[in-house]
Amino acid sequence: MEGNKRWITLASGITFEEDIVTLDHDLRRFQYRIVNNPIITSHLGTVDVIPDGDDRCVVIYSTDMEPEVLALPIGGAAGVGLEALKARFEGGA
Amino acid sequence: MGRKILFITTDQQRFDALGCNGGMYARTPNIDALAANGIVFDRAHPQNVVCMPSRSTMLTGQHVSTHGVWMNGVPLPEDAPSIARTLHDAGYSTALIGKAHFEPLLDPFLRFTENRLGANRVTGEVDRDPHRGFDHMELATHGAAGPLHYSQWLRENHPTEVGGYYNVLDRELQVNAEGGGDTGAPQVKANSIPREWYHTDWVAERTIAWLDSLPDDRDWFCWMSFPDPHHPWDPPASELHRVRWQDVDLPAGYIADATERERVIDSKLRHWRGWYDGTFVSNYEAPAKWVPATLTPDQVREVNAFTHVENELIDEAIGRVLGAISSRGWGNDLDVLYTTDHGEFQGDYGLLFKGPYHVDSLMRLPLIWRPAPRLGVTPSRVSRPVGLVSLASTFADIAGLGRPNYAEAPRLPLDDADADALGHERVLTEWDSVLFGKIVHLRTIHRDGWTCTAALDGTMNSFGEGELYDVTTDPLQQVNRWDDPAARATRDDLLADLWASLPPQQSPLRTMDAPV
Repeated sequence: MEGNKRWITLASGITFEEDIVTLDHDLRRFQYRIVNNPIITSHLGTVDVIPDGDDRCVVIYSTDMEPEVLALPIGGAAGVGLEALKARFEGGA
Repeated sequence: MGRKILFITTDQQRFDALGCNGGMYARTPNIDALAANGIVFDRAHPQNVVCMPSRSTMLTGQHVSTHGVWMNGVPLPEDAPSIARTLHDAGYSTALIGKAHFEPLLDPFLRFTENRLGANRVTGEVDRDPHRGFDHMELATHGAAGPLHYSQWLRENHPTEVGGYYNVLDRELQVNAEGGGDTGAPQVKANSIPREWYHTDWVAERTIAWLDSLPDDRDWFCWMSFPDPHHPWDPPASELHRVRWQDVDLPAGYIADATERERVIDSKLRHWRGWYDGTFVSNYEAPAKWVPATLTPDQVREVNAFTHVENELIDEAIGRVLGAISSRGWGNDLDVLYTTDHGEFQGDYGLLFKGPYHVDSLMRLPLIWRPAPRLGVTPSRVSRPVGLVSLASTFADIAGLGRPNYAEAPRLPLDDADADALGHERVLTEWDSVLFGKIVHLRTIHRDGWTCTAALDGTMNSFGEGELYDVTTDPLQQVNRWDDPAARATRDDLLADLWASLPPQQSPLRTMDAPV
C-alpha cells in the first residue's frame, strides 16, 4: 500500500492498481477502484457489513465494472471469497 | 496385459468432415482406415452442442441435466464422476493431452486446476489425487493466449509465433468479429506459424512423449484432444495450398437464394432468425458484433477450406501417434475411439458457429470405434442412434469393468443387432442458455429417423413451440413439420418419449463462473 493506493497481484500474475475510495468503520463500508488498467475501463468494488443481531452479520460484496464480460469471473471469485470468510467466522478461527 | 485405449477427440467437427463419412475435400486416410476396420456410427449425437457440457458428458457418462454443466463457463465439480478415475483406480495409467475444458478458460484468479497446471507448468498437482483421475494433464486450447501448457511452451520457445494466431477476443474482451483471409470471413486468418509448432502437432508430439514414458506392460487410457477445427480458423499458412478456397463448392446445406434461406429460417423456432439478423446471441463463443446475414458465399467457401486443411493436419497427426503406438508393440491390443464434442454450421442455412440449433450441422457427429485388432471384431456401420453419453460405459467395458454405477447409458454397440439388444433406441440433447437477457431452453429427441425439439419457456420461444424433422426424407432439415397435422401423432409420440426419458434437471442450476 502507498497512501490510498494498493497493488494486488493475482495468482495468474496480473497486477491491479487500486485506489481505496471508502474505508468507513462507522458505516462498515469498504470501496475500491481498479485504475490505470488497459482493459478494465470502469470499476467500483464495494464491501458492506450489515449487522443482523448480536453475533451475526450479512456481508455484501458488489462490483460495478466495464467490460461487462468480466462480471462472471469477478462474481465467481467474490463468491469464493465470501464463502471463505463465512467459513472462517463460523469456524471461530 | 489388457487393452490400451486411445480416445481421440476433435472440437467442433462435422460428420461429413471425414472421407469415411462422404467428405470430399480433407484427405483423412488414417481415420478412414480406423473406420474401415472398426465400427462407424451414422447417427451419433452429443448431449449438448457446446464444449464444456458435451465434454462433461464424455467424462461422466451422464446427461447434462445430471452432471449439471449446462453451459460453457459452468465448471464441472472436481468430485464429479469420471471414467478416467474409474480406469485409474483399476490400474490404468491415464492422461489427457490437448483440450480438456471441464473448467472455464477465462480465469484471471486461477481458481481452476486446469489453468493452474498450465500456469505452474506441471502435469499434476503434488500431494493431490490425480485431477479427475488423470495422472498426466498437458493442456492446450485455441491459439496461444492464456495459461495452458501449449501457450506457455510457445511463448517460451517461439515467442515471435504467438502473434500468428487470430486474436480470439477483441479489446473489449468480446469474441472477435474481425474478418480475415481473402474474403474477410470472421475468425479467419492465415497463421504464419510453422506447421510443426502449431497446436495440432504439439498435441501429437506430447502424446507420443507421454506414451514413451510408460513401460511396455502398462495398460493405459490416453485422451488425445485436438483443439481444431473449432474457430478461429487459423491454420498454418504453409498448409493452405492443400485446399484452395476457390476450389471448394458451397455446402449442400447453404441456401443460396436469400428469400428462400430466410423462409426456411423463419419456419424454425424464433431464435434462429434473431441469430441470422444479429439481434440474438445465445452463447459467448459466437461473436456478438457479427451479423450472419452478411455472410457471403465466398466467405463460406473460405471457412470450409480452412476447416478442411485443419482436418487434414489432424489426420496426419493421428497417423504419427498410431505409428508410435505400433512401434511399441501395442497395436494389436489397442482400442481407438474417435469423435468430437459438437458440430459446426460451416455455412448451412447461411450461418456459422453454433448455438441452440438442434439440426444435423451441430448434432450429427463423427464417431468411430476401432476395437483391438486381436479381438477380430467384424467391421460395421451402425444406423441406430447413440450418444456420447455411452463413451464412459464403453471405456469401462474395454477395460473389463462393468458399467459404472454413475453412467446413464449402455456401452456403444458393435452393430445394429447389438444396438437393439442394448436398448439404443433414442438419443437426447439439451440446451439451456441465459446471456444478455436472452433465454433459450430446448429439449431434443432423435428416434426412428425423426428429430423432435421442444422449446421450454424463455425470452425467444414458449413451451408448446418446437421443430420436427423427418431426417430420412429431409436430410438438411429444411422442412419443419411441428405444426403439420400429418405428423401430429409422430410428434406427440416423440414428445411423450422425450419427457419420459429425460433425467431430472439439477435445481437450482449451477453457477456460471465465466463466459467460456
